[in-house]
Amino acid sequence: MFPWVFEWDWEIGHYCLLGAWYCVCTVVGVTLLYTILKTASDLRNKRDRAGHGDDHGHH
Amino acid sequence: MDRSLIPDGCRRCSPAVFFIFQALWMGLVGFGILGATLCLGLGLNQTGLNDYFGFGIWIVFDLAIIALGAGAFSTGFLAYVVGKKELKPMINAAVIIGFICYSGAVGMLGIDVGQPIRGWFGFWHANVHSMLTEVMFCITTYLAVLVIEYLPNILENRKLDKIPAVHAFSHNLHEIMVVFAATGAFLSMFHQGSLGGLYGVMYARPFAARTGILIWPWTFFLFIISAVASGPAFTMFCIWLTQKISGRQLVKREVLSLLAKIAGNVLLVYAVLKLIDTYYWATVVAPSAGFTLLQFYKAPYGIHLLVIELACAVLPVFVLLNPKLRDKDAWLIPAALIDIAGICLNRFVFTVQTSAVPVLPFDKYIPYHATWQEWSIAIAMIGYGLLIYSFSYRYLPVFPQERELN
Repeated sequence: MFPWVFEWDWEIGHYCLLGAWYCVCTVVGVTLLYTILKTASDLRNKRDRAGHGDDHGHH
Repeated sequence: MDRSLIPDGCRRCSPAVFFIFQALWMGLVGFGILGATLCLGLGLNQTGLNDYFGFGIWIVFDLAIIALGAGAFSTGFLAYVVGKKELKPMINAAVIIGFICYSGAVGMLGIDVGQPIRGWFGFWHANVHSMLTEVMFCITTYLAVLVIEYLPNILENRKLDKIPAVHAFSHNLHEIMVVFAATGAFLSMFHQGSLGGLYGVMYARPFAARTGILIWPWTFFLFIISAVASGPAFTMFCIWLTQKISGRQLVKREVLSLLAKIAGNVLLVYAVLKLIDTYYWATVVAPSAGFTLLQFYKAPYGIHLLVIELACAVLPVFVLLNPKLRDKDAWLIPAALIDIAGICLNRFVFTVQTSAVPVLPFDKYIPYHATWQEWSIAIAMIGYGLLIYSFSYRYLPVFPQERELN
């Protein structure tokens, strides 16, 4: 599964199967991470906008 | 009692009726847990598996439900990647059905391997030359993708959606769903194909072996096409059944007709290719291995299985591609059921009949006999699916058109 596991061989079968699988896992992982970070950013922006709205109200 | 959890504007049966049905499904699951406990505790001698039959009823169910769960990736691909917005009203249901099918299959496989605690061996010590390794990797990864696709629907529960972080997360997941739909389609194509490929490469079993292109036997492509032909039909049937049981219209009629049209078009392609493949195999491939067609078919797996399998691929096409007929339930539902039954029969034939046909001169033609323990686990998967689906329908906004249509 990984290059450091003793059965690993640098040949076309490993490149194709595990290479494709690692690509898919990377795409899924990165997309999920992007979604989590975007959610955190949206929540922070919403809190900041709510905070600025209070400040305007005080003036 | 649970009114505050039910989607806004939707009517559901009383909690008492709901929980009576859930008790039934949990009874089925309990029956399966009994069978599983015996198999894990006492070994696979509790089953009909032996030196002749490495694959039994569990693998038949696995292959069948994985094919029927293909409605998730195919409609997801059409809705999010191709842009067929008419399918959006049923996409949640398709994802739930896909999740049930794949998680059920993985659960059943956990018992089938005999020692699920060593299930990770197939990943850690991956045999990259095996079709099954590819199946294992793709199915587990696709199950993870299905969980991610199911998540927004769960988080849209009335109570959960009120939490700002949950609402924002599910909204952002919706926006980026096209990525998961595309990766899901990529993964599914390969594992559906490899499930067929694993039989096609068995050159020592002329009943299953096929020629092909490069490393892929023709069964690789036939299994993908048959999955895409039966998956939407199964999803459409589940939605129709939910409508009948709940007494509510959940999607517009055009959505069911569109699913039937998709299934019909793909089934037509499958029927043509399957007929060509069967003819070539019967007249060229099998004779070159020293077999005649009828040598493969002995009671109880007679030639009638082949006839029924081909008929189930051809007959529904005439209904599913006819706009007047597919708009009538009396024609649509039997056609969908025949489509589904045909693909299940195809999986049975490749799994059990392949092993039943002797390949050595002293071997006998032996039918497979599943034990009650095996049936209990297979039935438990149906109970599990009904549990998940019932809970989802009751508490989640699965069908966005439900309010406007009722």
